[in-house]
Amino acid sequence: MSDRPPAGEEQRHPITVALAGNPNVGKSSIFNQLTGLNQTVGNWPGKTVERAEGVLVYKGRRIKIIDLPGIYSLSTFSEEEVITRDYILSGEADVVINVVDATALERNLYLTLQLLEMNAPVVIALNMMDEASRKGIEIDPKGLSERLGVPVVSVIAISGLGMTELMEQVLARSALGKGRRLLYGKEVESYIANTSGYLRSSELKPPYPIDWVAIKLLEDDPAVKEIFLKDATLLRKVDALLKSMEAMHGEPAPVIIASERYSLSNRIAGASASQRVEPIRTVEERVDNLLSHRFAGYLILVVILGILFYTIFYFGGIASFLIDEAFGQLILLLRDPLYSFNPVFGELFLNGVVFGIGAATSIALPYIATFYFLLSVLEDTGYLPRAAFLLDSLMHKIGLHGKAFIPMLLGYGCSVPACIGCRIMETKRERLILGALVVLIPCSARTVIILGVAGTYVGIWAALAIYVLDLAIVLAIGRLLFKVLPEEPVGLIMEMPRLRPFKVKTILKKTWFKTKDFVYMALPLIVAGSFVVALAGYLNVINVVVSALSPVTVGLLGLPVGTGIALIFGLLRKELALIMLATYFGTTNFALFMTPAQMLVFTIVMVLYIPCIATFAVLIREYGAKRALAITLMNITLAIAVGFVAMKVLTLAGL
Amino acid sequence: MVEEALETFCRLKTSLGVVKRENLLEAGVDADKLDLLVKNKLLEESKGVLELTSKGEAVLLNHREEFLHDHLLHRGEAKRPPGAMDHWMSCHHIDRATLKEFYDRLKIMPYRIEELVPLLDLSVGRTGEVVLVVGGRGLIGRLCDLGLTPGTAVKMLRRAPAGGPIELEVRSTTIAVGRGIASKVLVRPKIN
Ligand SMILES: Nc1nc2c(ncn2[C@@H]2O[C@H](COP(=O)(O)OP(=O)(O)O)[C@@H](O)[C@H]2O)c(=O)[nH]1
Ligand SMILES: [Mg+2]
Repeated sequence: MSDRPPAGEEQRHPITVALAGNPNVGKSSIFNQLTGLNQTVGNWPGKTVERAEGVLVYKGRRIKIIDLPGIYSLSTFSEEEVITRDYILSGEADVVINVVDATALERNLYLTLQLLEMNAPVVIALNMMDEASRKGIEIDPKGLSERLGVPVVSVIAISGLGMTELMEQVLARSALGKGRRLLYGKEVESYIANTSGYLRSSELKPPYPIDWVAIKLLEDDPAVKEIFLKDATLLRKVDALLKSMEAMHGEPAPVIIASERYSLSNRIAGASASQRVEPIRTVEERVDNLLSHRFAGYLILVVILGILFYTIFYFGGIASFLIDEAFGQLILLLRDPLYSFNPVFGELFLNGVVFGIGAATSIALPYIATFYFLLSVLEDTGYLPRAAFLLDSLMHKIGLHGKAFIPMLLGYGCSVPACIGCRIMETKRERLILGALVVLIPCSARTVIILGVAGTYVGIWAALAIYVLDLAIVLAIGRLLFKVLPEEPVGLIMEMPRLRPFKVKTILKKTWFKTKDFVYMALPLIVAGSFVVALAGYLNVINVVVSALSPVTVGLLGLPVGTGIALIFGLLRKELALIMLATYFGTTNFALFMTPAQMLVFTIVMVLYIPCIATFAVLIREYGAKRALAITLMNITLAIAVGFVAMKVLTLAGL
Repeated sequence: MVEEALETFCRLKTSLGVVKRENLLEAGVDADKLDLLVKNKLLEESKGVLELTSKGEAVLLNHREEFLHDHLLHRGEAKRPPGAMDHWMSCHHIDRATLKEFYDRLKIMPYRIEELVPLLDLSVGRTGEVVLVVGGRGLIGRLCDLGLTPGTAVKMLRRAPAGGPIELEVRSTTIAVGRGIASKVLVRPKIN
């Protein structure tokens, strides 16, 4: 959708458009349709945590599109709600596209009404029209538009249907200025009118729609009340109103207002949508029953996770081997001509650049791509929330709830998205606990170490044992943190998305984009790292650094002194550790310099010891430097402690 | 049980607006008990119309609180301890103000307390109407935002085993709710 305008024209009236709506209604899908970008789409609530921006040029107008995180309400229970609320209030958006799930109109309109309370310039994108008609729901967009007083456009985000019409309406709406709210019941309206009256006579004039401020005060909203801290008279008068309203209804004020909105959205939805035929008990429902079944559900979960890991190990292993071989051949092929050209350059180029690229692709492609391919399937079908449902009681044992499973699973791919995904938890405390746990989960790069060292030289059972040990440690630490940070854990409240068939094309596309991101991030570091080691090896300084670490590596862990190189480069990226080790010892046959017991200890330490630099950066951003440091120190201590114990146990066992 | 009769009175009051002696008799309260209620000043009769006295209100609230404790929220535990308020506050992580609010709602709850069950106990396939939530404003607010406002019909879809959550249908959406929360949401099952 980017028909190029005549030059200069597009600069004239830039328009800003925000996408707002409930989680999982297709906001990001619409964003992608409009901008041609690739914002993460998936069938589970909570995946878009960061605001994304893109630009579209339509009919000569530059239109900035902003994808906001999904929310159910504009109260301030969650950070996402605060972000969206502040954004809408700022008036930065010329138009707010409120994406609405046509199959759950009543619930979705609850947010719409709140957007209208803020006089937001709303255009409704009535999405999922295909699923609505499949469910026998007939919607009258014109009637809906009249009742709400805003334009309504039927769209199907996955096929792009209705996008042109949507942009037409957005353009038209952008010229019209602020919107208008709808009126609630007489009685609540009289309370709103009274409060607005008080507000008009107050000295303080916040730059927000006066009725919205009134409603928020009646809802006892802490953030809005704070604005009026200086006007005690006003707060007292409003409080008296609020109390009389509560006495009349016998419910807390926020509940009264919420009920009022729901009764209006119920009326509007009821008048605008009808169930043409009773929905038949579909296949989807039966599958859902099976997936969440008390016995079969868990069996299926185990099988799915089993298949996931088996495929990664097996398929990743083969592909990794083939790519390694190919690069090995390439290096052999290049060796003579390069060395004869210039020995120093040849050495650095081969061991640094070519070897680094080879290492990056042999890791990124097989393991990461396989993981993301399978994860995308789970994501798009809507299986993840089902797994969260099944694992809720287990997660409660470590003070979290079912949703925590999702970032944990992401952690097996890469710790970075896993850390960001921790925002799926509601409170700071839960986010911190989960953040400290997901970094302990072996990401793809650590999978390579587990499989490449323990798996290859000790046996696949040893590799599996390390996975199990890691999981046990994660659960134990979780339990410990739960005890250390005591507080009532928040219970699970999660919308279950409908199950959907996945499309192979979408899955492949997602896999490609995620893999690409990874390669872009990893490749420069790996190549640079390989280059540095090759250079350091050439200059003979490496031994100095490595021996400085020997009290830990040799003294405590009983490892060969050279493994220090892995610890150092593991800081940058975990996959570098192995590559550097191989470079240092000049062989990829680790059996030549480590006993099986040493290999196990080495693997355990590498899996636990520290988040890589990218993860550390994300930890700082998500939790602040102090907590990030605390998590890192915990990892180092844990790695050395567990490594030490493992060494002692293995020595005692005579290995 | 005088309390039962008071509960019946309360329900009739909601549905009829004005409750007369014969309404209560029709609803199965026998005449002797009714006289006893009036004699003990729990109900007050003027011109054939019955009203709850403040003493009656206190007895009713006490009964509701006891029933809530012993039969709905803390089943299988010891009976309600004397300092019930503190007990409630610590068990449900709510402060005194919230608890007071809850008492106020409990007092005017328009159904017989005996009709309520924790959402958790609703059998699969059954529908119930949300009546009371025992919890702080945060919890109540989150539930409201997802559509679980008082009076909303919720249908139990399935439950996970072993302390797991339940799945509900609310306003044509499906929502999973942890067991702890589901035990604090009191619903009135609909008669099928
Ligand atoms: N059938 C159907 N599925 C859709 C439509 N729009 C989005 N989806 C799917 O709904 C899920 C959520 O979409 P997403 O864009 O990530 O929603 P967001 O959370 O609002 O950003 C994804 O699985 C999409 O493929 C639509 O119009 N029809
Ligand atoms: Mg999104």
